[in-house]
Amino acid sequence: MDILTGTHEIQVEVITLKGRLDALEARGLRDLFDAHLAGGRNRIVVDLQALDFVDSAGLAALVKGMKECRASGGDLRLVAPTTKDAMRVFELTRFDRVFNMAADPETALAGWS
Amino acid sequence: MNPPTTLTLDADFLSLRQIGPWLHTVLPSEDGEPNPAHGSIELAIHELATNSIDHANPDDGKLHLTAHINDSELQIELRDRGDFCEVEAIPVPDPENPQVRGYGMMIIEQLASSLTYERIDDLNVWTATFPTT
Repeated sequence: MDILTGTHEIQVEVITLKGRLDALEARGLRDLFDAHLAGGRNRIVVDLQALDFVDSAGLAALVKGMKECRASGGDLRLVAPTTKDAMRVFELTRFDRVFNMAADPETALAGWS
Repeated sequence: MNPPTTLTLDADFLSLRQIGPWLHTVLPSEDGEPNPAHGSIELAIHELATNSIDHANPDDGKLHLTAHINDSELQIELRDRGDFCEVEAIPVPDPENPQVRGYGMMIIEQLASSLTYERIDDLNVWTATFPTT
C-alpha cells in the first residue's frame, strides 16, 4: 500500500473594500467571487471596515457569494463595517445574524489557519 | 413648509450617488454637522430609486425627486415614467431562508414613517416620509 502525505496550506482569499458597495459596484464583486470559486478558492474573507455605504445590491452580492462558498464546502466571512451607515443594511435585513461577521480580520481568519 | 427642492437624475446607478449630497443640502444641520437622519434617509431613497431603475424601466430615462421639509419631517416624492409597479407582487424576504434579492422594499418600509405608491396616468409616484429630529 502506498500512502501519500502532503502538507496543504489552506488558502483564504481576503478582499478589502473601501468607499461604497452599491448597485454600481456589486457586479464587480460578484465577478470576483465567481473567479475565486472557479479557481477552487471557496474560503473568502471580505473586510468591510473601510466602507461608508452598503445598499441591498451590495448585500445581495455578499449573500450570493456566501451561499456559493458554503455550497462548495467553504464559507464567506465578513469583517464588520465600522460606520453605522454601512452596517445599517445588515441590521435591517437581519443578515448580521446570518453572516459569520467578525470585528477584525484576525478573528475572521481564526480557525482557517 | 419650506419651498420644495428638486433633483432630476439619469436612471442609472452612477447617478444615484447624487442622492446623498443632495440630501445634505435639504436636511437641516446644527453647527455644520450632518443631520443624524441623513444616512438612513439616503439608504431608503437610494433603494427606492434603485427599484425604479430595476423594475420600472423609465422610458424618458429620468428619475424626478422632490423634497418637502418642515420642522420635524422630510417628505420625498419620486416620479418616473416607467412600467406600473405591482406593489403587492413584491415578495417579502424570509430571514430564515436567505435569498439573494428582494430586500429593497423591506429596507425602505423600516426606515420611512410612511410610504405610498400611486399610478397617475403614465407616472409612478412614490411618496416617503421621514422624521428629521
